[in-house]
Amino acid sequence: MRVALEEAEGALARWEVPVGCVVVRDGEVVASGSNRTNEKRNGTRHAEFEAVDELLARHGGDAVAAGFDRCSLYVTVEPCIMCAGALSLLGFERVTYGCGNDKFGGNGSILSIHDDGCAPCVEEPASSSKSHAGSDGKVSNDDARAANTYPSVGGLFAEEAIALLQDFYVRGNPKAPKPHRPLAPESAARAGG
Amino acid sequence: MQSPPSYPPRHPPKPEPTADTAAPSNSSSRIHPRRQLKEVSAKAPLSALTHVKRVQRRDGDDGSLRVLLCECSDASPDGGAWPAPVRDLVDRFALAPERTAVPGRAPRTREQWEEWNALWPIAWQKPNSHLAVPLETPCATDVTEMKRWMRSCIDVAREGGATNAAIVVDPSGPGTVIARGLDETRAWRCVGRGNGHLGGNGHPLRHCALVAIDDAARRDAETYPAGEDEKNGLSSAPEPTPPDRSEVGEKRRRGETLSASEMTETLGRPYLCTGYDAYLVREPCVMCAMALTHSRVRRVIFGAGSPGNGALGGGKHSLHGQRTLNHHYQVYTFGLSGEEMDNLVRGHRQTQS
Ligand SMILES: [Zn+2]
Ligand SMILES: [Zn+2]
Repeated sequence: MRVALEEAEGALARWEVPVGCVVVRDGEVVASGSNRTNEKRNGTRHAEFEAVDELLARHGGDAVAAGFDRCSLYVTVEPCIMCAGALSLLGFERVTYGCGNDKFGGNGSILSIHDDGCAPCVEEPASSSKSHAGSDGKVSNDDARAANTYPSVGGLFAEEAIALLQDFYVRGNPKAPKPHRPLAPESAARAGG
Repeated sequence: MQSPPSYPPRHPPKPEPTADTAAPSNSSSRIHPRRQLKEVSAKAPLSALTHVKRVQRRDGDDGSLRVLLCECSDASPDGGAWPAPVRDLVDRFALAPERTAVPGRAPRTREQWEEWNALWPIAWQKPNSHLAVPLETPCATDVTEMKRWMRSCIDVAREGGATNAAIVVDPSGPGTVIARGLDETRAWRCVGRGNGHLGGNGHPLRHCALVAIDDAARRDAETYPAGEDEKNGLSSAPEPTPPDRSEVGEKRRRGETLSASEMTETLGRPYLCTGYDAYLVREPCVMCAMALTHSRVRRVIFGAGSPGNGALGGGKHSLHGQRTLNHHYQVYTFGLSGEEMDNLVRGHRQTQS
């Protein structure tokens, strides 16, 4: 989590909402990332997506080799609903976060995507193959969603994560019409326990 | 001895949102002790106005309250023919009734809620999470446009051989496709923890909506290259604050979505996908639905719902109705079944080959 906080500090220095994360596999840090939504002009480039893409790149884009189901994520702020869905889709083993995210939080604050799961948004398989994987190895979206839940714990180094956000909001986000990632610092303090 | 009712009625500051409604005006009045509210509700229920709160706390003065007494249609203009319980309350507590306008029906979107709530407090109702059909009712010209873009979107899916595709459209003028995205997850099915196949060459997160959002970001960067300060990551440009009286300022205060051109005028370039519409062949999952929120799209229109996994009313969640989010888009669906959509996508493919 200390490495994740360093990532978040890096984001702050780049005028990004300071959120950072690391991916740990078999006890080793295999990727890290921080928020780059302003830099990339893309509201989806949260720390989690940056780290996941780094890990994939290290494995030549091979998601199997990346072994997400053996990976744990440490992130300074509770994953938003989008990232919570992404972590479910990837089959992460577990997620640990710092402070809560009481506007967008997908790991319990607003929605509980870590418990609900998320599945690809492609065609729904025919109803005959609903309950079990068919001979082609495909499984239904419902099954995939249910299988892709993960345990999630918050509150690790929450004060440090909040302090970074406070630094950011005191300065203001020069690129956004309104603050667009998590939360007002004071509410973070409440949610972060 | 009560003071005479004060007329003429006050009109809503922004009548547009209630223009298509019955918009009943209501007599309201000052009332002091809060325990009397119970009595008001019991003696003079507002059966047609269950979506509004009975009481409005007045800002800026002594914190007194205004209470809805009855619908104006229930009282004559001179105030002489109120329903008996209302007459009784007015007399007993020496109220000073006056007319006011309140929203005539419950809002259907977050934007309406914010605007109408300024008129009179509204009880927020969570949108029905199992609505199968238009969550909004588009006007006829909108429907024509939506059909046209949905056809383009299905074409993108067909030509790319994917089962889902997304396009981002700038609706201004004749309309422009800003970005396209095909589902790039391919054979990927992550069922995790060794009980199924992990595989495929696709990127597990490259759902069509995310691909389209990436495409829009790439276009933005090409069309409006970064200035020197941005390249150095040192941008300290203050947030542009539009003049308060401009239309833009008004809209921002009311939490309305700006059009893309308004945003470009304000910022010097687009801000994410502000003002654009996203079309998808199928209802987005929760990751994609939230990605569209982060991207500030104006509307999301999809062809077929995704029972089970859809995040905009087809499955467990109705993300666009989550109050805490900082942006809310409107949602429309053509309400096709997955099978009907399959036939549309594949049928075209067969007739073409
Ligand atoms: Zn996120
Ligand atoms: Zn999706």
